[in-house]
Amino acid sequence: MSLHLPRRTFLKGVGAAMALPMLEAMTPTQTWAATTTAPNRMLFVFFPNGAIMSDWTPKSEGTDFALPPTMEPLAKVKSKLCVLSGLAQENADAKGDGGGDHARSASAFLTGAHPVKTGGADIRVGQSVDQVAAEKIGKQTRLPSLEIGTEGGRNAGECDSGYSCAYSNNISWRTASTPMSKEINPRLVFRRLFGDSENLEERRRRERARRSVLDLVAEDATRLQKKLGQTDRRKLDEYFSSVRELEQRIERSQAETARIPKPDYPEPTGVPQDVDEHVKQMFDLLVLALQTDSTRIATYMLANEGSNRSYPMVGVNDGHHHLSHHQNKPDWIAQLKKIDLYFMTRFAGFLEKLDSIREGEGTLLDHSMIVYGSAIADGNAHSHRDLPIILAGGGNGSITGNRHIVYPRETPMNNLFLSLLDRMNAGVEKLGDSSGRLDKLS
Amino acid sequence: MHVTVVCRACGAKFKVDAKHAGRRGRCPQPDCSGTYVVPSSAPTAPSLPPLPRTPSARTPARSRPAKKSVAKTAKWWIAAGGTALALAVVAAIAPWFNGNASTGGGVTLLPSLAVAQEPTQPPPFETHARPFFQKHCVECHGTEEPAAGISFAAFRDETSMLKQRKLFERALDLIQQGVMPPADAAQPTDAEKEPLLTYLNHALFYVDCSGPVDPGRVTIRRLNRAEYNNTIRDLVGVDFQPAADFPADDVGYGFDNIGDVLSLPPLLMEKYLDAAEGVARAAITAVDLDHPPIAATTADNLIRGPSAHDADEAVVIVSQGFVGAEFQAPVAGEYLIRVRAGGQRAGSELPKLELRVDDRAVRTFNVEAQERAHKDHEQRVTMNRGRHRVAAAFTNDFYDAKKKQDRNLLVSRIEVAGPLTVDPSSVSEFQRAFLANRPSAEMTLNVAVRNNLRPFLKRAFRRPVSESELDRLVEFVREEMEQGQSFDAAMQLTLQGVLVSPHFLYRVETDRNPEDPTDTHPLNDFELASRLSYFLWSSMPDEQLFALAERNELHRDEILEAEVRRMLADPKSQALVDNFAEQWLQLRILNDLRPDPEMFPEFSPDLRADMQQETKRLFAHILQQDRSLLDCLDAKYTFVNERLAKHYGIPGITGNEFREVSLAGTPRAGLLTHASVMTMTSNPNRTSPVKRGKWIMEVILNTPPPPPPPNVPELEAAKAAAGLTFRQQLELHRQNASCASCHRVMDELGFGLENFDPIGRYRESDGSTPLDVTGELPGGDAFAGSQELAGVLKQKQTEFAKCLADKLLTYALGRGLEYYDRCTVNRIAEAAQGRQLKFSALVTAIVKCEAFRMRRGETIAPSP
Repeated sequence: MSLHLPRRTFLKGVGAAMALPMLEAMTPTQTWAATTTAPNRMLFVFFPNGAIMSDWTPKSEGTDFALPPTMEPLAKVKSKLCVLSGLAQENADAKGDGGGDHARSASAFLTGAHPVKTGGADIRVGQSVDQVAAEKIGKQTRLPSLEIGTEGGRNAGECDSGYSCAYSNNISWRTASTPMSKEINPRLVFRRLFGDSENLEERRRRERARRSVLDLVAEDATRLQKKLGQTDRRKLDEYFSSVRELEQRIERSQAETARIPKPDYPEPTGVPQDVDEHVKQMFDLLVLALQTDSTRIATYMLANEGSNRSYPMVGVNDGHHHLSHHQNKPDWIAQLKKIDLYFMTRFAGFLEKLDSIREGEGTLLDHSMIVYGSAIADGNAHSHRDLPIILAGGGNGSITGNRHIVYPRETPMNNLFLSLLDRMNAGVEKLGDSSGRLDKLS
Repeated sequence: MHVTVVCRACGAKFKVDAKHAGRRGRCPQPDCSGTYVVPSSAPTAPSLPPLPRTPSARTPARSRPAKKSVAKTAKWWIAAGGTALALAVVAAIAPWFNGNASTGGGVTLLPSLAVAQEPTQPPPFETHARPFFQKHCVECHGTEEPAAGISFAAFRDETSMLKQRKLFERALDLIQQGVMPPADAAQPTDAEKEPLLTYLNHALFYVDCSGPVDPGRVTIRRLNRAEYNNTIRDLVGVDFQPAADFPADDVGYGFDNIGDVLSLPPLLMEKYLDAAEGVARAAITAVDLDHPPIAATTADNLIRGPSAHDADEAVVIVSQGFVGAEFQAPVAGEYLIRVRAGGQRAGSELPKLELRVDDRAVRTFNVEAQERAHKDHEQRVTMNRGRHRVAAAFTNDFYDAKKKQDRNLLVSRIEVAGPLTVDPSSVSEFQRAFLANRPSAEMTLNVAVRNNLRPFLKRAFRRPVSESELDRLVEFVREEMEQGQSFDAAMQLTLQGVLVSPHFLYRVETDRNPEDPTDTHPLNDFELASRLSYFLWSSMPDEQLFALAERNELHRDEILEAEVRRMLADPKSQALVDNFAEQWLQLRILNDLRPDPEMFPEFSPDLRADMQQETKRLFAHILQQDRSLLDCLDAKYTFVNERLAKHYGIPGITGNEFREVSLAGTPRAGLLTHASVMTMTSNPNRTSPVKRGKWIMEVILNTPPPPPPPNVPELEAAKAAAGLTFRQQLELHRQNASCASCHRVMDELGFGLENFDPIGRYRESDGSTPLDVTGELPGGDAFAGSQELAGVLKQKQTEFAKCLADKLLTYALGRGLEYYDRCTVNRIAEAAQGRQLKFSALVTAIVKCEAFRMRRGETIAPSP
């Protein structure tokens, strides 16, 4: 039986003085629209250089799959995630552009677009899925989206075979030509989320001042733009849209009467020397961001694409990128598996934390959709097919977990993105190379 | 000898070297586009050698030497297999260079457009390219499932080919290297190859160096982090690195100051606002003299000295003692202290209140007010900026035992109001200038704001500002004051606004016709001043540059040369070390490297910093002493501190400071033996001859090897018996033809450096394996060890000079170089080589080239 009663009618009938729990009947049965009280979230956690797929891909399809070695840390949350096999980011292929698979894979990861090969002039790939959502529904939260990572830009030389470093260091693209820089300092992420320790009055005063300043400079920019050529105008567009976003954020903030929630978490002191500590803190901050509903959209680059970091805490003293060209040497592969497992362990910890935080009828994990993966399958072959992808979280009841779903080879990863955007109420008809929506998720 | 020229367009008069008689030039006035012809009142300039109309018309005498140089250079580079376009091509197309390319002396008719020469007859596509494509390319790159998605069927003529310029640059590269056609296909003969290479070099890269120089177009540049910090330092006098928290600037063409790559996402805009607030707070102490703020401390919060006790809404001091309050003076000046107090009387005297500031008695009051009716006791005092303690002490305690009367002092409140006046010597120089004028009976708000902002804005925007720009800011200040802000606070907010204005954050250069690529014009002197200052100082122009720009003198050759000398001598030129040298030499890569901690426990972050410091010191020394950049290759001196000296085994150095030491008698010389370079080109646990060779090819010779093909074939060594040395494995690797072309150069270069271990220590053997440090480059240059390798590289001085010209020009312009910049690069390299490759010679040649002094409208690309 499914009987829908408008809440107001119901209250009239019973007498408005009583505080009543929501009754089942008032909750529409069809899911994913804004029906439950909890919001839905969409996150992307990226790791570079691919994975050793023999230890990644579950042996069997469907619900009874056994966790493969790299996924063993996920045991506690297995029921709330799907392993997705068969997805591809074909636009990371060379398509005649020669070397540069790392740069291409990072920039195609969330865009499904083929980056223009350039060391600088005319950087262009495509808008990324998170920014599509941020544009449509980002105004529901204080920060439309959050971009974090643990490695700053590589500051010298070319990043990858004639590609500007912008391609390897960013997965989030606000527009086809503007990457969203990521924050790598935990202290600054914390401040961004929760503000300085200022009181409401100070904040109001500051916001009012900022608003006047932004009004002033937006006028400057408008006048300036008229004098410029095409490329310069495009550059200045970045300025405009950033100003606009800050104005909107101030507007939203002023509508809030309460203080910014202060989490029970010490403010980080800076960038930790220890990589593991850094990785963990960033995951913690993601949890806090979701818990306080400061944002619902985030991307986290565990390292930049092509990163040559070593991971001595798990006994890997050689560089990650270097190892990833493993030439099937067993000892190199063994090292890579350790890195894969390390990342997975931290990711699993993050999922467990989300799952331990109650929110309404479920947990934060139940109300999230978290894509974990890379746009390179095996680093030795630089293949962009059969990518290592995990989709964790229940998406507010819209995703059934505990499954290994195998899609036809070369199914565009962007089909997954369309399906996720639908569940964020930010649906679009096409994104990058999408050819439709991904089935079998619900 | 000079002749006077009058521009017919604007009437400007100027002098031009008479040797240019008969040639056309462009009027140097910034806003004039007039052209002129140099009158021939003087002896005519030596005419340029006549150019043959077709290659076949060349005289044997002229063509033979040219051809020889083609063969020689091409041999090295074809064999080297690098993307050696800039170099190989130069030689290969030598027949099309006309004599003017080698002016070299640095005297150019600038801003001028040299007379275009009649172009020579180019080799035709039909005879030189099509047959080769048909025979060797279309089999794989045909219409049906073309390999790599590239079909040559689409390229029917030169026009269709040039639409895919980048593709054919790559094709030329691969054919030159012998990578295409692939080894398993029929190989073209040299006789087949040569016409195609000749043709492609011409079609893709021919630029008439005697013709008008295309200065290119630089995209509007956002200040990067270093530039932002330095500009704030020089503009406001605040030196706290506000950009430290900004996201890293992305790198393009090897540098992080490339206009096309520097984007401005919302995160950065937010940081700009934060930084502007911080800077404005630090630079200006905003005080409201008309409504001095009052800091009050009530009884509850008064600091209690001895014998001070709580009383009803007051503190009673019953014996000698005091109460006090802390006060933070925002600025030095006069303040009004007000103590609200009353007394309990006894004996003949009234209770005495001694007012103290920082334990110094300022005044003593006789307190007439009674216990129940406190009154204020006021005193003006001068205080310095900072924290102060204001106290009210009771100094004449008395007890009349007979009458049982006790004299006591009660204090209920201490206030400090102010500042009432500001001590002008205590505020920053910046503030004195920025708030030099205040609205008063004699001066309207409008005039005060204008006078304050006019000089400031010119510096902040790096150009003169219009009155209408000032109008808007006056309006802004007025609005803020209407909202209740004080004048100072409104000005402080204006400063914030200026610091996030696009005119401040971007380096703007404008064109009359921004979308007309043929409209080439000189920069105005203010734009030129910024180019100079950001090139050499990574900061804004100083007063002298502004003054020269104001007088429209900066663009003159002799002034530019003098300014370059002055600017390089200024300590701010350290920016070239921190920003250019660090990136050119790829020193920043070291930041992310962690040698294997088990194998190299000696390695520490401190040692890493020392390594970087050594290399930077060497570069700084070359810059400051204006030495030859060849010192980079073989300097027999270096800079070390105790830690690094120990690392190198140099005795007798103590302490943390770096000092110059001689390397005579040691195996070290030049950059190639610096621990920084050796470490950054190693894997965490072993050396990498490949990476070391690649570094030399990229950094010293500017011939970066192309990336390895995807799906690198397994090292044959893996299949072969174990126990081969790494060198032997690499040699096996090179049996694969597609790897060989590049590795033959990379590996050999790297072998020469095998005496240096993965953290740059000298070694004679690798474990128990003796080292083989010999190498031989294609073309026959053989060497053993780093010193001989340096010798070989030093012979490639021309390549090194062009490499430096290329990198430094990229950095100076903030854009990637295009094929048409090649003439410029060659000219700069030649000019610098003519002066022993001194650093100042290189910089001067760059500053005087058209690409640096001019710009043009944009070629509008069809929208994607």
